[in-house]
Amino acid sequence: MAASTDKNFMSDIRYKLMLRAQAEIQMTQALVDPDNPWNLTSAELAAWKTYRKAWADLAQSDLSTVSIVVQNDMMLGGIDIPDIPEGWDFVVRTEDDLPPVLLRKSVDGYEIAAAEDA
Amino acid sequence: MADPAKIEWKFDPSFRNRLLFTIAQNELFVTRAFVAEDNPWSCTAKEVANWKKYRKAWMDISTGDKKYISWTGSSVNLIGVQEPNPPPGWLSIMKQVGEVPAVRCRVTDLDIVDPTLPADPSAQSPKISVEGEGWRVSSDFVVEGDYVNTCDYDMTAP
Repeated sequence: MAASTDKNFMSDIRYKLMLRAQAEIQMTQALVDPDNPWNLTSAELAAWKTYRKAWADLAQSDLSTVSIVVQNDMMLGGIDIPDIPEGWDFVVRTEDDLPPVLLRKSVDGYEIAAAEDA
Repeated sequence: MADPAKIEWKFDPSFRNRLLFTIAQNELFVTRAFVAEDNPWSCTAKEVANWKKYRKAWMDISTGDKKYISWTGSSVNLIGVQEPNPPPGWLSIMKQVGEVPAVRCRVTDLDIVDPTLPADPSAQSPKISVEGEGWRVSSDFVVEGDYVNTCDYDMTAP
């Protein structure tokens, strides 16, 4: 099949963004599944769909203005990381490098843990 | 390429089944977003239909007759079966340094030239993995060649 581009591989920065976008979309799949196991409101559902599409769009966007900024999320500057919808958060126990857990901020214990981390 | 002689799988069937189901389930997991109802990757109707064929092809392998699926060194997943290629216009690529996970992307997402790889990125897709001469370690799955339409894809996509 003829290539539709003159490029044949992916830059490190785009690769990194692709991995992050695919991970974000995988982690949030259950939120937008048709059976709605998280009991999302229609507003929450719309917000999460926007979040997921924003990550895909970012990974496929023009990266010509992106630079390395070591203190930023992903160490990248010149991009807008999508905001997590209001009322939700990813939490991580750094001890033992456990994977992030997505939850509503209204869950028992979230405020206490957030205050301790502040 | 002539079809090689088939070799019967000699291992415990439960091991074979577990391996193939694990691969197939992982393929379903990593391609879920391409058929998701909210369509975050903005796939066209043709792309969605092609990804559904890709996903079904993996399940057909894992649930079908596996008697002659053997080991092979020239396949991405080391199994001697013609694995489904990504739909036309799509690729599965991986940066081997650091062994970071593979990325499924469109050909148009590629943004650099690597002179050590085939000039045509789709040439990285054909996998001539059905070989009948036992274990052979090689990188034959990275070859220059025509794209192989493994799943009756709509080649006019997108």
